Amino acid sequence: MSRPGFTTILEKNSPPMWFYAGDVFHYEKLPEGTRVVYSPGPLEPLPEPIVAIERALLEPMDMEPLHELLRPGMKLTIAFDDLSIPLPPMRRPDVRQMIIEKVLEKGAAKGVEDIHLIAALGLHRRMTEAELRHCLGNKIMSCYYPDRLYNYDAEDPDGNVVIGQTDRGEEVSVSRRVAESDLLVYVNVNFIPMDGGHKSVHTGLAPYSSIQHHHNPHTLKNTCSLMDPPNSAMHGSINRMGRIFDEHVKVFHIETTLNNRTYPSVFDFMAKPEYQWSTVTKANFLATQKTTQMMPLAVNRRISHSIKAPHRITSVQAGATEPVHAETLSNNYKQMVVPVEGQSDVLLVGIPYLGPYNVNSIMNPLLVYNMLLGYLFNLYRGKPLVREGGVLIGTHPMSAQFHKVHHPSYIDLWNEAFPETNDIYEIHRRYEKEYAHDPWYRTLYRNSYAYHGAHPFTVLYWAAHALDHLGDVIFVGSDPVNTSRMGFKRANTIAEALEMAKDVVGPNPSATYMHLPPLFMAEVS
Amino acid sequence: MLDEAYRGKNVLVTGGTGFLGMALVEKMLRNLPLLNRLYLLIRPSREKGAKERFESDVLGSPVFSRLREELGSRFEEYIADKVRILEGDVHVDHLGLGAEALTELSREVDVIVHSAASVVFDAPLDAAVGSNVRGTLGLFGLAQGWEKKPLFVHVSTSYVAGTKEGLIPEEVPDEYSPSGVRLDPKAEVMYLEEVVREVEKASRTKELARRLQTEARRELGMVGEDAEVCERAEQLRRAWVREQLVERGNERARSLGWQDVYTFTKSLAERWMLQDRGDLPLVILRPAIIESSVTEPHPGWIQGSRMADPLIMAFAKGILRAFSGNPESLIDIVPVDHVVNAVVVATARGLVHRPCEPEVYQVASGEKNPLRFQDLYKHVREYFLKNPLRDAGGRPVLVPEWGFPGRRWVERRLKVELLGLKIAGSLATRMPEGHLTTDLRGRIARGEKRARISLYYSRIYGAYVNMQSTFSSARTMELFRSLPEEDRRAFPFDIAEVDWKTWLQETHLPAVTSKPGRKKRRRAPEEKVGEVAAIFDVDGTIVASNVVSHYAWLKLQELPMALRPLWVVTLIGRVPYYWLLDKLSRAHFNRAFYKNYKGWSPARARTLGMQSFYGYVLKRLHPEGIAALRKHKSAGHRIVLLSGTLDFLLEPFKDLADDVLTARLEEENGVYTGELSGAPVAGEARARMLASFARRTNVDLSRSYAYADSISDLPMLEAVGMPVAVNPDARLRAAARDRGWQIKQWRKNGA
Repeated sequence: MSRPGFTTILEKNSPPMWFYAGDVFHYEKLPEGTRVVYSPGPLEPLPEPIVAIERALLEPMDMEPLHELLRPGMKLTIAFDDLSIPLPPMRRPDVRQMIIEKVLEKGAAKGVEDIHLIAALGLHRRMTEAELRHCLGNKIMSCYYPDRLYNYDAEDPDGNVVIGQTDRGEEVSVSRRVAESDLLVYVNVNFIPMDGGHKSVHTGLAPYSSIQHHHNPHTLKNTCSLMDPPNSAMHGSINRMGRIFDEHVKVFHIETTLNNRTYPSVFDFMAKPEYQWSTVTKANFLATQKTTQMMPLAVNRRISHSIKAPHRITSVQAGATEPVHAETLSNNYKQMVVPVEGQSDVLLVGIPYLGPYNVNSIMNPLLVYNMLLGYLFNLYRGKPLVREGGVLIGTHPMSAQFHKVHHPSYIDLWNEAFPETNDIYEIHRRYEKEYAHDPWYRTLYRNSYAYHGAHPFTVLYWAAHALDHLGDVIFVGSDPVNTSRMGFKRANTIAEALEMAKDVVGPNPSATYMHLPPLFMAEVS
Repeated sequence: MLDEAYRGKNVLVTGGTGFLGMALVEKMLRNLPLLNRLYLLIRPSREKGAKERFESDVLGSPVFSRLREELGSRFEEYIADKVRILEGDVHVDHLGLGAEALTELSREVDVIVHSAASVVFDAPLDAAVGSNVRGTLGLFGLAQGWEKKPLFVHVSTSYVAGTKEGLIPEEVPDEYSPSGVRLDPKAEVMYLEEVVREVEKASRTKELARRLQTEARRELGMVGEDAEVCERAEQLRRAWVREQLVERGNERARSLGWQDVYTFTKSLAERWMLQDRGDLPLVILRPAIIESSVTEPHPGWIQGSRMADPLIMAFAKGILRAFSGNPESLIDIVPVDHVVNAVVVATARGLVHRPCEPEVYQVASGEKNPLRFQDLYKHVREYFLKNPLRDAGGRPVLVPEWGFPGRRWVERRLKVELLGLKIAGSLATRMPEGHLTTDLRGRIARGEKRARISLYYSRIYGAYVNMQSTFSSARTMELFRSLPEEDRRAFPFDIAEVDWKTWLQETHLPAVTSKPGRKKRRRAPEEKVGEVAAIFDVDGTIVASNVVSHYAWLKLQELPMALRPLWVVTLIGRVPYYWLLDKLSRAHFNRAFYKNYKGWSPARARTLGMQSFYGYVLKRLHPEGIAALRKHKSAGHRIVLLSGTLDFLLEPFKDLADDVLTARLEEENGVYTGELSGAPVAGEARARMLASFARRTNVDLSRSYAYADSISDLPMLEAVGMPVAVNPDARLRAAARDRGWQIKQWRKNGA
C-alpha cells in the first residue's frame, strides 16, 4: 500500500520549499501558515504486466475477446497515443510496445494480414523514427515501418473522411483508414484523467475541421475541469462525436494507467517532503540547483530531456470505450487524488520543464502559459484549489525561446498576435482560421516535425477556464518583457508575489502550495 | 462674329474620340455657345458602349480640363444639354442607327464634320478601303438624302497629293493619279476588293494550310496539344492574310504614285465624293501631319502617338542608328489647335455661303513656315542631348548622329545586316542548348529587332522624308485673314507664327517623352482569382541547394556509414565534369546527372524525398522566399513551382503550390531508367512549359510574377510581366540590371 497524498501547514521553522521553475529550481522559505499539499506515493505496479494485458484482451468489458474479433482478410488498424504522454517518456519497454506486440501476436495467429499502425497525434508534430522506435521497439519497427506504421496526417486531403454530424452540428471526421477498418484497436496510456475514452480518436485521429468544435475558447471556458470528464464541456462534445463514430467503426479500446514514479532515484529530493530530507538529500538538491543555475540553458535542457521515467503499469483494461474508460478513470484517481479541505485565496505552483507539447523540445512562453493555466490549474475535481477571484502564482523564467522546427506557428503567433492583444477570444477571432489553413504550416506539419498551424491556439484556449475563474496570475522569476506581453504580472520572489496578491484577495490571504511533481489532483471539499 | 454662323445649328461629328475629333469637340463646346446641338457618332468598343466611351475616353481626357474648370459645377449639365451621343459606326449600313435616330439626323443636322479615318500607313487593304472609302461614302450618300442637305466637311490629308512634285495647290484632284495614270475611283475600289477576296482564297489552299500546321507544331513543340496547334495555325493564317493585304495595298498605292495605302484610300474617297456629289455642299480640309497643340486647350496637348512621334522615340531610344531622307525635304507639321480652328472657320464660312463648288483648304506649314528635315533632326537631337531618355537600368541613352545617306544605301545596309543575323540565328539554333547559346540568341534577336524596326521605319516613312513637293496654303491663309480681329484671336491658325524650335523643344518633345498620361493608359481590368500566377524556381531560389548536393544527401542515407566517405570522394572527382556541363547547358547537365538515379525504386525515392525535406531542405531554406510565396498566396495568386528538380523531391512542396511543373524520370519494371520522361525543365523549355501552362489555365503571364536565380531561367523570367532575380549569378544579374528587373538577395535559414 502506497503512501497517500497529504497536507501540512508550514510552521515558523519549517524548511524552505523547492519549486520547479522550468529547467532550474526555485528554493524559498514560505510564510508560516502556508498549506502544502503533497502527492501520494507511487501505487504498487502490476507484478506481471504481460499477464495482465493478456487477461484484459481475453476478458474485455462489454465486448467479445480480441481474438474472436479477428479474422483473415479483415482490415485491422492499431492506433496508439503519441509521445505527448506519459511525461517524462517512460523507460523501455514502453507500455505501447508491450500491448501492441500482444495484439499483433493475436492478429498473426488469426491470419490477419492487412494491419496498419498509426501514431494518433492529431495536430501534434509527427514522431521521428527514433521516437517511434522508443515507443514500439525494434521488432515492430522492422516489420511495419514506414509503409504500414506511420504518423497520422490531419492534412492529407485523401486521408480523412467525414462520417457524420452530431445533433449540435459538430462535424465528425476521422482518418479514412480508420473509418474503413473492420476493427480499430486503440492503445491508450492514461497518464492523467483528461486522456483516453472517446478523446483518443477525436483528437488523435481527427482533422482540424472536427477538432475545432471542442478545442475552442467557448467550450474550454466551460470545461471545469479538464481532469474531470463528467464536468467538462470539451469531453461532452467529444463524447457526442464518439457515439456517432461507434456506429461506424468497431473499436476495441485498451487503456492503461501508470503510477507516478516519475524521476530516477538520483533525484530523490523530488520524492520526499522537504522536512524528511536528510543532509545528503539536501546537499543533493542544493548541488543540483547550483549546477542547473550555472550551466547553459541548452545543456540543462539536453540533460532534462534525456530523463526517462521509471513509470510502471498499475492497471490494464480493454473492451468497449465507455466502460473501459470509466474503470480507467477510477484507477487514475486512485493514484492521483488528494483530498483537501477548502479552497484558498492564493495557489502556488512550480512549473516544470516538460509538458505534453515539448517532449525533446523547448517550452516556449505559450507552452508555459498552457502548462500553468491549462494543466496545473485544472488538476482538481469538484472545486478548484484556489477560490474564484483568487490568485495563481507560478515559477518559471519564461524566456522567449522557441523550437524552430517543432513550433514555427507558435513563433509567428507570438510575434504577430501578442504585441497586439493577449485576449484569447480576440486571438481566436482574428488569427485562428488564417493559421489553421496556412499552406506553409501545413507543409511543415506534414513533412517536417512541426505542430499544426492551429495548435498554438488550442494551447492558449486550455487557459479559458482559469482566466475566467482567477482574479490574477503572477509569475515568479520570469522575464519581464515576455510576462507583460502575455498580459501577466511578475515578481522576483514568492514573498513579493504574495504581497502583490494582497491587492487582489485582501490583506491576509490563505495560500496553498501544490507541491509538484509528481502530478496529482486535488479533490476539494 | 463667327459664333453667329453657328446660331441654332446642329453639327454631326464622326471620329470624335480621335485625336483631332476630341480637340474639335472641345473647341466647339467651349467657343461656340450659340451652337444648338452636337451629335457625336461613336462606335462602341469591346468593353464599353458609346456613352461610356464618351464619358471615360473623351470627357475624362485632359483635353476637357479647361472647359471643366471654366464651367465648374455646370459642366455636366452643359454637356448633357449640348451633346447627343449616337451609338453607331460609319462602316455599317445606315451608320448602324435605328430609323428614329436617322429621321432625327435627317431633320436636324446642318453640318457633318467627317473626321473618322484609319490613319495607319501599313493597314491591310481591306481595313483601309473599308474605313477610308466605304465608310466615308456611306455617310456621304446618306447625307444626300437628308432634309436639310447638310454641309459636308470632309477631313482629308495634304498627302493625298502623293509623290507629285512642286507646289500642290488647294484644288480638287483631276482624273489622273499622281503617277499620271487615269483613274476611276469606283472601278479602282472594285478592283481592290477583288484583291482582298483573292488573298483570302489563297490563304485557304492546302499547301499553305499544311505549311502553317507544321510551323505551329514546331513553335509549340512537345508541349502543344492538338487544339492548341489548330488554334495557332489559324492565327498564323490570319497573320499571313494580313501581311499579304498590307503588301498588296502598298504595292498598288506605290504603283499609282501614292506613298502608301493611307494616302491612296484617302484620295480615292475624295475622288469618289466629287463624282457623286449631287447638290450637297462640300468642303475638303487637308491637314498635313497633325502634332501637339501650340496653345489650346493647353500647350503640348497630344493624344496617342502621332505620325512623327514613333520615329522621334525610336531615335531617342537609340534604335534608329541611321535614317535615310533628304535633309532638305519638308516635314509638314501642323499643330492640332490650328487644324481645329481651320475646321471651325471653314465650316462657318460654308454654313454662311453654302458653296456650289467644292472648297479645298490645306492646313499645312510647308509654304508659309517650312520646317526642313535637317532642322527637325537638329532640334530633336539637341533636345535629347540635353534631356536624354533613360534605359531600364536608369542610364542615359546616347542619341545617334545621322549622316542622311540615301534611302537605298540605308536599306541595303540593313538588309545585309539582317541577312547576316539570320545566318547567325540559324547557326545558333543548331548549337547545343545552354546559357552561351541563350546569350548569343538574345544578342542576335536584339540586333535583328533593331534592324527590322529601322528597315520598317525607313519603308513606312521613307516617302514622307523624301518629299519633292510643297503644300500650298494660300486659300487657308486667305480664310484666316478674312476673319475679324476678334475671331482671329479666338481661332488662330496662322502657321507663320509658330517658331518650330521653341514649339519642338519646349512643348512637343516634353509632351511626347515625359508626360506619363500622354497615352491614355488602359486601366488593367480587375484581377480575377487565379489569373495572376507567382512562379517560383526552387533550387537556388527558395532553397539554397542544387541537384548534385540533394542527390548526395539522398544517396548517403542509403549507404552504410563506413562507405560514405569513399562515395563522397568519387562524387567529388566527377564534380568538375558536371560543372562544365552545366556551364554549357543546364538541360544537358540535367540529362547527364539524372542518370545517377538509374535503378532506384520510385517508392523508396519518394520516401527519401519526404525525409530530405526535414533533413536537407529545411536547413537550406530561404525564409524570405517562403514569405514571398505566402504573400502571393494570400493575395489570391496562383502559386506555381517550376523546377528542374525531380518530382519526388518536390512532393513535400505540393501543399504550398497550386501547381508543380517539374521533371520526371521514366520507369521501367518498377525502377527508374535514369532517363527523363520529356524535356529537361531548363532554359527555353521552361518558357515553353510556362506558356503552355498559362494557355491551359488562363493565367495572364503579363501580370504574373516569376522568381529565379540562374541565367538558364532567363527565358522563363522574360515570359512574365513581373520578373524578380533572386540571388542571381553574374550573368543573370547583368541581364536583370539591363532590363531594370528587381534583384533580391535571400539568405539561408538562420544565416
